[in-house]
Amino acid sequence: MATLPVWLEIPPLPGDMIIVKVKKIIPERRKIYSSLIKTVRRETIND
Amino acid sequence: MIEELEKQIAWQNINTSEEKNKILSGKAIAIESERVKLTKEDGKIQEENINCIVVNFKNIKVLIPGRELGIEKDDKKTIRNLIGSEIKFIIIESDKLTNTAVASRKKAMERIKGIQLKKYEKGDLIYAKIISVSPKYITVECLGIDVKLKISDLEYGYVSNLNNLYQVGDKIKVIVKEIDNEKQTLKISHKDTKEDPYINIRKSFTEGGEYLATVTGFSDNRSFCFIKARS
Repeated sequence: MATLPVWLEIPPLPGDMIIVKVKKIIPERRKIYSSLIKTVRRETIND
Repeated sequence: MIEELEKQIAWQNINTSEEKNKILSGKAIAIESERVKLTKEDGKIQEENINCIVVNFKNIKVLIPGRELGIEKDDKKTIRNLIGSEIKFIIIESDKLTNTAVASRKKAMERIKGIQLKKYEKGDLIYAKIISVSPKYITVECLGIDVKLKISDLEYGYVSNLNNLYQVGDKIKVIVKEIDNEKQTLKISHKDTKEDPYINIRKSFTEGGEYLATVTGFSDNRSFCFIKARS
């Protein structure tokens, strides 16, 4: 699960490659919290 | 000449299936509404206009009426999900002149169930064939039983649409969780055949580390992404 920065206008969409920074790992709740660093590759969007 | 021979062999198979309940299989290619003659249990022959799956068996048109598919509902929407999958069937009636036959999948599944279920027990690993895929669940054919597997039976992580991961006709490894030969019921899981990524999660990732990930879904202020764990 990645939290998005407030300045981001378009959130990353399914299929996009991103770099995330892992903030917290909680194995017992089966969760990894991370934050978005950069979108590496965006899937093409048809207008 | 070869074509003629192939046709002859195909018809031999059709006849053996009709007479000796041999299980045949072919690809479901269409849905048609057909006027079909069905022999009832009391021996009476009845004509009805019903939705049928059309299966191509070596260029012979095999019609399987909705009620003979052995699925929960026999409406067009449910039947449509089976198109493209390999269907097992036993011939009920055939007509060489029109090159068509009427078959039952239900009968074939009953036969497979009777033979296969007693061979396996809880904990066994087997293969199941995907016969339909929806966004939230897939249906697999396993030991003659159609089993519905939800996302939670298939994957550890978040999945927005199973169509992106599974295809009709694929074979998946499953583990038998419950099997009852008398009641003819079966519970299986595909997820349990895979290693739980959360068990050794701290070996794969460290807090503060930066990783390449693929976005799988999003909500108002959060995205879900998949990070491949190091094995």
